[in-house]
Amino acid sequence: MSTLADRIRGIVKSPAPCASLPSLCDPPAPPASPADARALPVLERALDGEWRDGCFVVEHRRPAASRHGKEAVGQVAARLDQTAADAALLTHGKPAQPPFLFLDLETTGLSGGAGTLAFLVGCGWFDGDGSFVTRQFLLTRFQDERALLERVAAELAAAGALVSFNGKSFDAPLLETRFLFHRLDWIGGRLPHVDVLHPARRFWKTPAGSPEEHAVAQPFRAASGGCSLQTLERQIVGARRSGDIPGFQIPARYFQFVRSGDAAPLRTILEHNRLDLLTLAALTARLLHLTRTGPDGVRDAREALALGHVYASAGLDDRARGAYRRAIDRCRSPRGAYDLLRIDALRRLAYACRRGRLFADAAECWLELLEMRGCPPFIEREATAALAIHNEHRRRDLGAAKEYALRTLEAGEAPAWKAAAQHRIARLNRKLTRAQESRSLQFEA
Amino acid sequence: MLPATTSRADGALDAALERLGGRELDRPDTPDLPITAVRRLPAVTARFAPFPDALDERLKQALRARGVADLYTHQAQAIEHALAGRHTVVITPTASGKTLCYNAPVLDAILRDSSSRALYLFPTKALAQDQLAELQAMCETIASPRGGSEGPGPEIGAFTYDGDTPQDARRTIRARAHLVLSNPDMVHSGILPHHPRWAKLFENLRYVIIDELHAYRGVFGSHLCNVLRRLRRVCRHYGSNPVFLCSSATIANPRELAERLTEQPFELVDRSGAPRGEKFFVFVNPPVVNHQLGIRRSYLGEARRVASEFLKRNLQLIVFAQSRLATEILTTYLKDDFEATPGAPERIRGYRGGYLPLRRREIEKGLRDGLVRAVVSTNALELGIDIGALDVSVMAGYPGTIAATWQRAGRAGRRSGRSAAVLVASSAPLDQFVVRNPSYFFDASPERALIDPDNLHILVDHIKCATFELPFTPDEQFGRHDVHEILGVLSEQGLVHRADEQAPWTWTNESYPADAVSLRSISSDNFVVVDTTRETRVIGETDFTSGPSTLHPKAIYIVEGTLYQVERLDFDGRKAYVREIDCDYYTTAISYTKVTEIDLFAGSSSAGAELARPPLASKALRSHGEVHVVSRVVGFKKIKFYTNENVGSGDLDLPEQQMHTTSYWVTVPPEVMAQLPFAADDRRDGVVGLAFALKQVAQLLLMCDAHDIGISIDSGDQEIAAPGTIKPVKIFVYDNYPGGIGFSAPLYGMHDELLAATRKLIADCQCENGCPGCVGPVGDTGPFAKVVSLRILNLMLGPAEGIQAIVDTGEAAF
Repeated sequence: MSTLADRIRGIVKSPAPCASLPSLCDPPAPPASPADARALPVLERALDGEWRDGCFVVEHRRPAASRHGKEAVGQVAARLDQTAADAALLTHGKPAQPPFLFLDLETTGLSGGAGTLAFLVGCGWFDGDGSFVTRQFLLTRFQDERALLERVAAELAAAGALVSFNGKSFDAPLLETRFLFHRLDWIGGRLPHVDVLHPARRFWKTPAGSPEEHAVAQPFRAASGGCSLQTLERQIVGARRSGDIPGFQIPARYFQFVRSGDAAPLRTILEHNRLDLLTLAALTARLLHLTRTGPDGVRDAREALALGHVYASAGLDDRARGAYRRAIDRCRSPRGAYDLLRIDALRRLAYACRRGRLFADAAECWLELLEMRGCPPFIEREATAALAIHNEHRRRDLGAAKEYALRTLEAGEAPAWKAAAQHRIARLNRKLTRAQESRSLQFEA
Repeated sequence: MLPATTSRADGALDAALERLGGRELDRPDTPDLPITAVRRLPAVTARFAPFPDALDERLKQALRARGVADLYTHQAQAIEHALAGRHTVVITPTASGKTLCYNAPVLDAILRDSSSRALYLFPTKALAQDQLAELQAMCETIASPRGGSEGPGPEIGAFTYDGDTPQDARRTIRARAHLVLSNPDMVHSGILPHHPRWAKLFENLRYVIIDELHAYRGVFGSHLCNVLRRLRRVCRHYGSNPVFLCSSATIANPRELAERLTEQPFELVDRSGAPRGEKFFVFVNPPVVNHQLGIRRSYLGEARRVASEFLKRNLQLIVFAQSRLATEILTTYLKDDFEATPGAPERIRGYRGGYLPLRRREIEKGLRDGLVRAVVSTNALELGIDIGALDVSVMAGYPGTIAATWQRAGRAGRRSGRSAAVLVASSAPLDQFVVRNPSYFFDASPERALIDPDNLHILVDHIKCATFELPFTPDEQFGRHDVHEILGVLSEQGLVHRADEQAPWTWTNESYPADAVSLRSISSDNFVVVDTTRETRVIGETDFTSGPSTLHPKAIYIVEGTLYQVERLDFDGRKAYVREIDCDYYTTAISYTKVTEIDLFAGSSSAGAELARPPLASKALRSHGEVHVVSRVVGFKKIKFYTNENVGSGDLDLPEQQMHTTSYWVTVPPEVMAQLPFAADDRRDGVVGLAFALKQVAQLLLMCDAHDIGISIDSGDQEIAAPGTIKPVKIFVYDNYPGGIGFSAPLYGMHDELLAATRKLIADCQCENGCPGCVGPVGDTGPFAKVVSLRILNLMLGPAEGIQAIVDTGEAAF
């Protein structure tokens, strides 16, 4: 006769164990864990922090003179200060004013839901003297979560805008869930939120499959796909980390602390989080600098194209067109050669021109796209359809319009396009017949 | 004497029944004739009650606007209980207005306080969709401005939330839904683990509606109980304490089931006030065409004949078939008979899972409008989808349980006027038992729905999910077992942790535990079926337990009529690679099962069974306890479609499967075996036949499916048996799920009933030496299986009147 515990052991050790990474965790510590982490001054010493209102806080200051990659922290602060007014460009035109609060969470998992905790809430900002201050709130036991969230809310209340990396999809919803769990008001929902991931991806994403991407392939934060914060830190900020912990090991490391009470292994996580915050700040400054400087400040066609997109989505079509034109100029490929970047820039420029009622300019772009070798069928459809419209309604060249419409039909199967093109051809045929009739009437008359 | 006919339809029904021979009333049951029984259920007049005073005036107005002037008594009763905050379960027949029993209190609560919320649980997504339409219509009536002084009523949001709900709609639903219509699976994996996002719902949850309560039995019910335990924890966290309103088809223990599922005390409302027309219930047994083999005429052909008699007379009917295949066959038959011109509106339709929703809606509407005259359906139309009331329900095959049979019969029957239900039995043992023992169906109470929420496999999974949702406080309980001991073991695995005895248990793992738990099975371990005919794709899955017997190499695997052959079974990778094949047979596995006793809960110990006992004192020894089951698939047979001929076989070498489960077993004492005047082989055949019949009856009594229980025989080492050393023989009926699902204790309790009913099944069977309807086909179990098994039962139970003659005949043959 087996005891309950033995029977359960038989069940939970059955061949389908829970997804965990046993190889990465050290063997579980003996169950005799410390009674109360709070009672241990060890924690303060190990992590260089202190208890404030029932919450463990670690505060750090990176002096303005210290370097982070290519630049000194103070330079980043100054740049951000000069360009802060442009932050709205990165929020699709929604107002976003300083003071900025850089936010980054470390969590117990990626799946979300009531059982996923933000065990470390990292906040960062620049001080008046150009130094970078981080304040990190660490959850040492579940019972303290409410106190932690209240401290975080106070922090957010002082901010003009939140700045994060993928925070709109991950950090903010996760924190919101924690606030809802404790029936606390989630103040973050009312704050402007600059998520740097999306513009950063436009500016700097390494094309898929490149060696660089393989080198940094990370199972963690798959959402950032080839554009992780660490990659950008190396490539754009020019900083190198040593002794960093890979993101996917962080939850296991935290659970190890929870079980053993030994805070020393958390030090790496706190440092990791602080570096993430500083890199986030540096990237934000770089992005805002680019948007402020405009096309003259770009390094390559890609940045110019991304710039155009940022302007366009903030409703600044004029500036967007300038950036797209710069992108086309900076393309190294000659006119007519296949170049994805050039295709993208021409196409976006065409649409931006049409929005600005610069129809002839738009038509130029479409024509150039059609000239390109290996132009993808969907672009060909768009271009021929746009040129058919242009010729029918603006240039009133029905013959040319019909030719383009026929080319749309040839450019592969796509039911919606096909139907529209057939409709157009039918109408053009009617118009052409009528025009012919009226011509012959004139002749007879 | 029949009452005077009142309408043309009634006349047509009478004529059709007369033609079938089922109009003769007050006739005795005749087990040996094609019509074994006819019952007349008299008409019942409506009993009305006024709206309860406490009901909101706006709701009463809306109900009147929708044509509800009075309530039936059961509705008024249920609503009063609900308004008083008492958990209530309503059992009433089909089409008696049960939805109003729970919709009225829910809408009343929302009208009084617009922050109120309600959660509806349906066993299927289709049912939720069907109810949504009705609820939305009701909400519109409430919201629409009523002529004159008052402005528009409040907007009440009713939404379904299930796996089909688009991601971008989910946030809106969470914010705006007063009524959330969902299913247990979604609550388990999509709502509870995300409860903070649903804070508004849980803070204001006034009612939880569980429709079709009887669907939650066995594994599914045991899971639901745990989901509800988790739901109530989350409600406590947000400070709400919802009232449970349940509705159920007729089962023996609705209140007990509701109380076990929710662990709350319940009020039972079981007297319907709805009117009902007169109904005839006829049992049809296709005549025997081969006495020796006990083969009867095809029940599908018989069902077609019965349906035709009604269709000919322009009566509207539903035909229930037991499988998708049978549905398609019957639909084809009836179309051939009744659909004259191609292109004309289809009067005969098929209906089953797998049809597209749009097509289903069209058929349902056709039935309500009367354009569709007959629908042939699987059990898809058994539950409460609205198809209006029809004239006749024909069941091709016994639906498996008394409850389901009444549900299907209830699909025919208007509030006034006559209706009929006809059950056409197949040659399966269960069908034969029921159709030949009509009083078992008409007079006995229906089945008890059983669950075992404290099955450790199920419980442990839900404790993981519950810890993920909310930490366990030191004084909290969850189920019958000590939750803290279980959490202690989980902490050894690193899944949960607590700092000390006073601290809560918290989830300390990255995973999302609900993803690993399916409410429809015990273990999440399964085999996937990979089709390699063209490009590789997954076409199905099978739970781990039944994997080897259905997916062994060379097995024929059937999906929607397409046949596949298993080419390779990757046992460790849990994959079966199949390829489409064109053949005229299917396969059944031959498996070897050995059951070993581990722990005896009650009954005779194995040692005790060998002790000499006074003869004729209850010699049928019953036990139940924990057992270890080892099973291995050792071969397979190829069975030809339609003729069921055995056309080949093969050997297999597959790994063993083991599980701990609970079992009931009956011990045949050695002195009984010793008294049998038969050779050892024939004695063994008799035991095999007895086990075959026992399983069928156990299935009947337990209200379970064939694969829910397994059977195994332990005959000791009879080979070396010398006279005087005959060992006892044990027949195990075990729960076919790891940890057991609660069947063994009830079986132990029903021991006498089980053996008596088994004897009746075998003795009453008309075959000579055994057939699929009693001890199994004679070719499988041997020529003496029937007579030996009866002798064993007689020796154990003592002679019963009416049995002896048949046994004597059997002996004469010997």
